Amino acid sequence: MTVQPIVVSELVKEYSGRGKKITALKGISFSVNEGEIVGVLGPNGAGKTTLCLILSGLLEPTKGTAYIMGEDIRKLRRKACEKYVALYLAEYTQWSLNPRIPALKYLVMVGAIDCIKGDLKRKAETALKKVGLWEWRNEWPSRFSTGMKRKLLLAAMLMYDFPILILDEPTVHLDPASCVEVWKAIKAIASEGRTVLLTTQNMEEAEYLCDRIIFLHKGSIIASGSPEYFKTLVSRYEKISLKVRPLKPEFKKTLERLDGVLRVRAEDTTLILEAQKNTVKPATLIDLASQFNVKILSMSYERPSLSEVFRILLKGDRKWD
Amino acid sequence: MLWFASFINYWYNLKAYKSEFVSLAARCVISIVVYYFWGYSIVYQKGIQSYGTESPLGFILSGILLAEFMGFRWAFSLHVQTFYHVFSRPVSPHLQVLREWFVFNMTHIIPFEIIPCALLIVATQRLNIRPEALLVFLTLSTLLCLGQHFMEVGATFVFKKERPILFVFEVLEEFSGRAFPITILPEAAQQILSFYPPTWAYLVWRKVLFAGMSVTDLEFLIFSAASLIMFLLGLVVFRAGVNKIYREGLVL
Repeated sequence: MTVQPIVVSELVKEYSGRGKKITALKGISFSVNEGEIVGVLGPNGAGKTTLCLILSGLLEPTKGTAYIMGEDIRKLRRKACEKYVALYLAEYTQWSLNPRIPALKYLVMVGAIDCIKGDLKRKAETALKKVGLWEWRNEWPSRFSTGMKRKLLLAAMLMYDFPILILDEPTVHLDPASCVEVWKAIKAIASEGRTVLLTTQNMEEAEYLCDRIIFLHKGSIIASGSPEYFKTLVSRYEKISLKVRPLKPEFKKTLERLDGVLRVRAEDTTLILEAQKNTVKPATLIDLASQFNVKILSMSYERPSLSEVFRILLKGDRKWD
Repeated sequence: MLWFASFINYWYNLKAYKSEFVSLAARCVISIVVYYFWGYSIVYQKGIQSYGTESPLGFILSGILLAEFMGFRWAFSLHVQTFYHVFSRPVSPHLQVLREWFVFNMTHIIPFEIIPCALLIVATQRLNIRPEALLVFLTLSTLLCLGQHFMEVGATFVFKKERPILFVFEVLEEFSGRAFPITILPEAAQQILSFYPPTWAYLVWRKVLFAGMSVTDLEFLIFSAASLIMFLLGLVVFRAGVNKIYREGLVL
């Protein structure tokens, strides 16, 4: 029988101290299959890093547990990082990159320091090719762009030969071009059949990389499914852009009260309505505008981006059915 | 392989930054000058006979030598900020500390600080050393140093604060007999410092070098016990700190 690499069961994590109590995870459950890339998506403070630390055995859950390769993480503790999990924490790992040694030798050194068995040079070469840094193997990381440095750190994780990779915000603070470079590297790593759990705030990243997306907000899973499922979510909404003159606050307030309208925001002279599909008709908007002596200069109906839909879900703070 | 790889790293550091040689040499010279001018006047005033030598220079140089040997722990990578990085590696944190101790000692401290200082002592002082006492002292002071490091790091993990904890240890070490005899301090401070193992290390170290102290002397036995207790206590505090961060994380 194949063991699921990651099984999370009713996981709760509470931080307490100095008179404060914060519940970072509120009884979440999910599992990750072998070779799957699962993205945990959520805003700051959603509990993503806490989840990564618990799954790596570096943080004790308050209630519930998780199983890594069938072993209880409460018993496994830090041994998870010795046996199964390669953890990448953007916030903590970047400093470790030694800039004064060629990339290839840096990887060999990482392998030696971390007591990795096997032909380290060959492993380092394979890892560099995998993440697309082979041409820069003799260059110092100090000459690398931030994106390339991240890729080198991902290559270092490949040295471990572990079945599970946990990546905490691997592209945070990167420009779009560097993000794409790192995404390609992660794709290449995942193609080896490793199980990858990555956290991100970037919807596009989750859509590009993941087989499944879990949307975490304030410690709870509010949506979960494949990227295709999330695309169908998008199709339930529409974004209506109204360029008006003048922009009257009372007109905006009236629009907010319309059935099906979830949010109205103003950008210069344009009002952007986020609404459930087919609930707000153009005629209704024109009638309302004339009541308020507002002239509509242009009107367009668009499909919202996934990020915009998540903003709507977050605002509602509710589980999506 | 483990050590070899670490040396590769160091070699590349040197290759890339020749100024590292210069900075190390400058550090060595500056530390001697500072210790000499700071310690010398006090030493002359109060006398240093209780440390087994009558030479102020010998007193200061031996202080520098042991201080450099004990002080290398500041270069270890295990801190609150790096906790998750160190603990997420597939090797034991203890092994990582030992590796750093070995590599840093071999590459930075021994060639650039300890050897020049030792040569100066040999050239300028009359030594009276029992080899077995020196060997036992070095072994125990290594344990003491590691124990102190584990204790400092463990304490910073327990309190999740680095600066105040390290400041306390730094102050204790400053007054433990490194640059001047503790006899110049008030009686109460001397009493407190007698519970701080490095105080015994500085006392015994000089007696081993200059007064031919044997391992069976009472002060040596006290130092031995203090070092072993420091090492074991360090491991206990470190474990407590690690468990605390495991339970509570670094938040709050």
